[in-house]
Amino acid sequence: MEIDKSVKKVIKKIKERYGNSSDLNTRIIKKKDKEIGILFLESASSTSTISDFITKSVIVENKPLLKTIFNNLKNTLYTSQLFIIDNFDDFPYYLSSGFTIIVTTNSKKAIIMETRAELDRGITEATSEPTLRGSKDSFTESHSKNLGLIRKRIKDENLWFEELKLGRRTKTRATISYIKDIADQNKINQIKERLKKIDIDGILDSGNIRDYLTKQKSIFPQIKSSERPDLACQELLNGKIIILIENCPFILILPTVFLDYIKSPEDQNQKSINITFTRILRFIALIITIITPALYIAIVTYDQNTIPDKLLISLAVQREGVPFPTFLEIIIFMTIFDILRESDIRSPANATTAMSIVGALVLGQSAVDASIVSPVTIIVVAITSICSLIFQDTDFINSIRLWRFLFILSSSLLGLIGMLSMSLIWITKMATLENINTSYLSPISPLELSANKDTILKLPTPRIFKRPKYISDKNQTKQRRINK
Amino acid sequence: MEKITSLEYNTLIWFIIRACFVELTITKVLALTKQDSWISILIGIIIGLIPFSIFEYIKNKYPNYNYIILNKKLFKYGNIINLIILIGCIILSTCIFWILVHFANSLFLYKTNPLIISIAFIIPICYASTKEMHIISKVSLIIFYISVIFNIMIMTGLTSEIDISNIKPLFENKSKIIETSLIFTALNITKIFFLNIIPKNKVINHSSKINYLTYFITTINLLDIALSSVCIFGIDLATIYEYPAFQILKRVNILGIISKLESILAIEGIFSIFIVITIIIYYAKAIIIQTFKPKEKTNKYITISICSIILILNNIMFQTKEEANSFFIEPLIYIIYIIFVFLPLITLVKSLYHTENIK
Amino acid sequence: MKKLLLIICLILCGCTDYAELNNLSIVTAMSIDKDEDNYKLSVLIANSPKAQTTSKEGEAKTTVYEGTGKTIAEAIKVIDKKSPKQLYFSHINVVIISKEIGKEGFLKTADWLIRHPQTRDKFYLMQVDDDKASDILKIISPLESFPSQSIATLIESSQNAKSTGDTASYSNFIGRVLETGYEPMMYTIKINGDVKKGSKQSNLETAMPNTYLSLGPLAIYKNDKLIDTSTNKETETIQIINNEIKELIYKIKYKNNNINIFSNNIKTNIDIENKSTIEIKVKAKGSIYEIDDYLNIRELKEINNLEKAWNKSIKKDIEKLINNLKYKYQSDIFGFGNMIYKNYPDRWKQIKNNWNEQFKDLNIKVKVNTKITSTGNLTKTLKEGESWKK
Repeated sequence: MEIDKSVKKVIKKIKERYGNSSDLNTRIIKKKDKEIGILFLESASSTSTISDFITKSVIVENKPLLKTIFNNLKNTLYTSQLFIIDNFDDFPYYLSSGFTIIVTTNSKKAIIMETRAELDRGITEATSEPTLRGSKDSFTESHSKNLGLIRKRIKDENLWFEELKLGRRTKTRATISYIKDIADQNKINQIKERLKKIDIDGILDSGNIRDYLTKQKSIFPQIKSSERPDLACQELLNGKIIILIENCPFILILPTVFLDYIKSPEDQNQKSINITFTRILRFIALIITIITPALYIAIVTYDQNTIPDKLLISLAVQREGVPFPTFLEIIIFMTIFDILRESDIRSPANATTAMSIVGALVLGQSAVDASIVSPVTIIVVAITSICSLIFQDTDFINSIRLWRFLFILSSSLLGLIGMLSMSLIWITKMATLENINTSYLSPISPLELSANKDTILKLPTPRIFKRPKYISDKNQTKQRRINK
Repeated sequence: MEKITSLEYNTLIWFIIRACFVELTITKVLALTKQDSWISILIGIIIGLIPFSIFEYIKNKYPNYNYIILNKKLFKYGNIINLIILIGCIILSTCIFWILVHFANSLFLYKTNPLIISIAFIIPICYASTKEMHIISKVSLIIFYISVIFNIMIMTGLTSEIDISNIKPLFENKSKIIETSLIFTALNITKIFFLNIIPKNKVINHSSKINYLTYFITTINLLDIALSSVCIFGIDLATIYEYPAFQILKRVNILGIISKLESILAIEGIFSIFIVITIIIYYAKAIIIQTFKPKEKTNKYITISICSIILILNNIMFQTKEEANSFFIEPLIYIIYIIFVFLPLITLVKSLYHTENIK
Repeated sequence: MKKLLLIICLILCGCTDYAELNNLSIVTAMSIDKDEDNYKLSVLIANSPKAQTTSKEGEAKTTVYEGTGKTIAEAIKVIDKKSPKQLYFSHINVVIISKEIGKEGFLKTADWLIRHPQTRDKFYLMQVDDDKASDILKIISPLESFPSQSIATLIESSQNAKSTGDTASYSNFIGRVLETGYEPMMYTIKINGDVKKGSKQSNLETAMPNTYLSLGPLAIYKNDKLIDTSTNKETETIQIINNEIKELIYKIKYKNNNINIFSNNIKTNIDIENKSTIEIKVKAKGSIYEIDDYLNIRELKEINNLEKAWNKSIKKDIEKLINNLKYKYQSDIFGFGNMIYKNYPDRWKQIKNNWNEQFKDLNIKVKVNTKITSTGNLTKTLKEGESWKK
């Protein structure tokens, strides 16, 4: 739609569109016979910037240098970001984004200036992925700040940002970020294609678009999200692709493989041999947290011959008088633990003390004393849940929980054999998963030895020469060999 | 079909050769040749090179086609040959499945109805065989890691128990050595036939040398299992057990602390059977698809129906263990040799006279 | 409520292998007596909770159930009816049999123990000499929480030496019976003191327990039948030859002295030289442990003589034992026949039917090599010999 030549009409139309919203500010300044209209949304833009620079320059700078007032304004406005549009339909988007629009009489074009208000918090410490040794900043809700956090780490012109707008109503900015000469173009195209297909009224968080980016059903998350810029930059340098969504401090990293979840961004900053040990611990914790309750049920109710003599007798005596079958015991207490964890996340900080007392004393100690549950069950549940909390990604923890439940079910049906067939199903399922041409179990299956220098093992950085091939086979060499 | 890596292909060889050894072959071999079973296995390894080389030759000669399509191209009645192979597939997979169920039934869940156990096993097998070959091979690579860990555990746990003098006196049962090695070859090595579903050019860096190396590593590992069962128990004790290779696991004692691991370590033997049956069902499915060319949507249902046929056959084919055991020795081995060695041999001979290029 | 849950669980499980731990009676030891035609079987159940205290402490009182039957399985059936919980056999540590069963032939009884899917073959098999086998299970041991464990520890650290419990294991016994040219042995166990007092908890309350168990000498078998029980001295020699001794305290008489030599480095090799000669080589290194009279141990010559005396003494022991095996027991417990079978199978075919006689003609050489490496903490004896007498 064209922009009307009359300023008053334009303002009227905009007011109609916004339903006379109270935060829509308009001002008409008369210069000789011509009118200059200033439009902005008070809620989204910074009023002081507008009055200090724009209004001032409009009012004060009145020497006519050029023929039309429009061109005159274009050259004299005190602003760094200025562009011109000629479509009236774009007005609401810019207004909502905090831009100021200047329209003049007899002009089919409008001047747009960035006067966005600081509506976000500053850069704070990462709360969901805390680290001991590493940069402390985290992504925020501000899109340009987020881009800046990446830009300031990688000062390379090959770091490209491609922007898309998602959501019919929210018009959320989504930026695909990658390093041009490292990332796999095929993967970028696939991601773009999938993002372009999205036609929904609103995207508010990066979590919303995750499901559009994967094709297979899976319990395990196939796209990692993070709020750490240092991790984002590490992954960019490995050839991965980052998607940033406006108003969301969590970015998406593609392609993600299973073993990415046992990595932590601070791993790169510490002694590699210690990190290898830590990662082995995390891997063991992963296995423990998935199979321990199921293994316990299988061993205790089917294959008792696996338990050493003294332990078996002590277990049997401890179970005396417990009314529930073992698997029910485990399921009840796993559920209670999950409820505890959930309420711990939701509740305000000062309620957690009460909760931990209830959890630890009432549910642990008293339940044992009342013979509702045997002490070993509590230990098993505790070990399982502690191990699951090693991982930072909530989606990952929750999907572990679901598989753990399936394992419990199978082992309570058929003991070790049930567990075995469930684990075969699990392995098959994991092998089936792939996203944008990357197998979920890479690089251990299919095996890529050189990429395994930084998976469960972590070699010192001077000894990792190549980028993982499963991410991108372009521009493989990461660093030159130093001849000692 | 996506390409698979050479390593994955070799893990498939590893599992296919290992399958059924702990559960069936070792019992038969020990019963027939006693202390000399290691000699018969050694000869079996050499005899096994013949079918192995036939398969490798065919694979190298026609790198673009799998065996099923090749049969159709080479022979006028290729479809009939393929259908015979299909019958062989179903018989063999039913037998192997029976062995698996019986193994689990007598060692893990001896009070449970075998039907329930067979359902528990057929579900993952069916699920895996609906997948494509590159996924099955990925699964086999993952299981291979576990298998290697278990093997190392078994080896470290058993070294102190081995008494090598138990294999003496040598050549006490000379007359049956060749017969036994033929049984070994039939039950363990000829199953590599099923890998000709993967044409050579679908394997990245396919190399016959590495395949032969894997062949020898795997068979020597089997030789080691047979030797250690004899050496640990002494031949007289070893032959009274139904599963001597399982019984030696009861002796596993790692560093004097970790023991009683037999139930967990025996799972290793089940893995290989899982892979083999999955591949056989995949093979059978491929034959049906190639022969009748059904719509792509029905592929899933073909697998499910093959699995249910196996499940039903498994429960009605053998009433008693003795019936099964006698079937495994006489008819099954002839069936294996006719279908899985003789037919490829014909293909080989035909291909020697067939010089024109197939497109 | 409990029943409802159980039904749900049964529907869910659908099979009978499912067993909760508190529904199991864990059998840790078993004794088999024979009384005319019937087997009298006792099983020791380890997980019956203590009567008064809360059962959370993990301590257990033991319970013994008895049953009789024509076969072992029949007796088990009788016990199964008595026990409120399902019997669970996979943790059997010890099986004790009576002398009568040994005399009659053990294989008859042995089948169940190895055929049952739950049992493992690595438990200890022992025999009682004069007592009833079932009494052993009733004795409450002062140091271990349940009797089967006390028997196991008894074997693992037996009286005069720390012998590995290999000979005592069931699979070893069965293997020896089945193997060609090998005869088995079995440890014996005996009760010292009164059985009735020993089976009461009060046995624990005194500082010096009235009744306790101790390990006896080895019983020598032929095929699966008991021949005789060896003496303590013979048992020690058998243990030396079987390489089962880790620590040996050996007493010799030398020049009016009773000298004890401590050795933890004894190795025996049995080699076959030819069809009819077998050589037993013993290598021992030891230190002086105790001298009760004067001996000039500073002189090398004296030590050498002592070595020779020790050497001679061991050699004499072994030769005496071999002689007894040949003529008194007529049992080839060291598997000399097996060695001939393994190395000269043709020769074995000729002599196997007549092995009893051939064993007597077998030429067994004994070579002992001893060395005394240290004199302990002292450099001389406390008694100063002649000078002290003045």
